[in-house]
Amino acid sequence: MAKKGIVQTLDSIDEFEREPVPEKSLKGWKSFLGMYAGEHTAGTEFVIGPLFVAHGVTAGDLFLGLFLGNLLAVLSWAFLTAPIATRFRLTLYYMLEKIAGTKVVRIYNFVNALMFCFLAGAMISVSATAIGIPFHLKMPSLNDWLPTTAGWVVTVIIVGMATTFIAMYGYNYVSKFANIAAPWMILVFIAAAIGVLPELGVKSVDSFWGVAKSTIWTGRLMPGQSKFTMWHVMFFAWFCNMAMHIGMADLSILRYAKRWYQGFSSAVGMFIGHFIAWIASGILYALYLVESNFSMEFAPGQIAFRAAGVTGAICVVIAGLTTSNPTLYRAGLAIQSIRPKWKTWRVTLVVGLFTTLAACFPALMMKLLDFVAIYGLLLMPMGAVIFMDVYVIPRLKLKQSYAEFFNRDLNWAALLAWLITLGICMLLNKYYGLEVYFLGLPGWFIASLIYILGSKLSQKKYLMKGV
Amino acid sequence: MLVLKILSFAGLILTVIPSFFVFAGIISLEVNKNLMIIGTILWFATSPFWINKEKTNGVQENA
Repeated sequence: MAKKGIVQTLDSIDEFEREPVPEKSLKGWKSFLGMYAGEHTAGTEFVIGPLFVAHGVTAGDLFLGLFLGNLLAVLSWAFLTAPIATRFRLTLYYMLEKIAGTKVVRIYNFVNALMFCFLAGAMISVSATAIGIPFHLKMPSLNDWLPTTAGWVVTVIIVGMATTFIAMYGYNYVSKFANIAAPWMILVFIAAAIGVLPELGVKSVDSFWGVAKSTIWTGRLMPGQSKFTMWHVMFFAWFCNMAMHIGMADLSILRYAKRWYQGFSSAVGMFIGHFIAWIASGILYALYLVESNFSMEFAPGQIAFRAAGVTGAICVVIAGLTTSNPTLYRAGLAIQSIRPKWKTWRVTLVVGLFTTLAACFPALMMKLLDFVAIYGLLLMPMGAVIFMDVYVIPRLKLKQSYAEFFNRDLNWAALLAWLITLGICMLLNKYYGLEVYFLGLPGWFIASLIYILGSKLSQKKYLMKGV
Repeated sequence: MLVLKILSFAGLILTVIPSFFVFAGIISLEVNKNLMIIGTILWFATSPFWINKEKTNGVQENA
């Protein structure tokens, strides 16, 4: 039964994989609103909100940064991703194959799978912090990178293996379960935060802002953390899903939209998940810090349990599971697309073992902000390549979809745009101190420029022959 | 189906509304935690019977 479910899911994923989505399969607003709301209220939210507090963000910087950053993310989905998605109605992978060639798609899939594994690993760690509560497990602290105790490792392995087996045999059930959990989860976030506000000193709506500044987002930096300003919050909120919007991964989703402006449905995910949920989890962490005399221990499960009791702990486990499970499954699919003959369940098992091993290192959870920023940055250049290929390449009298048109399996212009951009971003980070959160913006322009110059050079000989 | 939906929404209301009563000083945080768990059980016991039947598969499964 479970195997049948996976086969059905795989079949549905194969749908329209190499053809435009037909008119009859297009979806209305409701599908996208539900999908974005669920996708962006997840286990990561229990970590990101508290990490803003640990990075010493002030209340004013947080609210302004989140508002602007989330707005920019919505605009990126609506004006960059959705118009291309609804014009061609193809998956990112197929678009990329036509433009950059199968070899680049293989590299892209491998990098994507690796990032999915680390993301799933972080979520397994988050779940482990809740599972460990009844066993009084000693939790890792903010600056821990390596496994701390044997108890931690055992808990992570149990959670990781359970997640892997569910991803192997019950993906379909978890995806349905995620639909059920999504509306409840966001309400638990809100209820947990509202319920503890009096303990932080908020006695009325009017007194919230004063307490927010003096007790919650005080600007006090936790030891070992870098200082965050409004710009950090804004760019993080904008670029944390950079792979999805500017990086064009959501072409695969928005190709089902009837009109391009359905890209604005991402606002639900941004302003519920990445605004309300981050603020709520920040409030819970502030209470934990006050009560623990600024303990360095960092355990989202315990933090939620303190505020919302068993419901809070269950919420952390479910949020971790419903995020790690599909992520693990997608990592398996990405690897399988490189080696299609490998069995899905075997690939998922290997990917799950690797992910579980990675999850034993608390660094994945503690450095989630950096990891999410790197994830977006790594995949972003391919989004710039697609954008340029659609809008700029034809205006320069060059051929679109180079790999398909010239029957090549590698478009050097695209590959070099990717590699050189990441190389320059690394140099900007290492020698000019530009933090990873900001690199996406110059990176996009660098990737675009290199792709255009590379395309001009690579197509020159063909154009001279009059192809 | 309608009864199940009503019970599901009652579960969601029990999960979130009591926290506002805590904020207003009407109930304690411990009472709120108990009400939240009752709301949670109510939601998960009733919503699976209708929620996925109303969801469209294509978009999410292709995510």
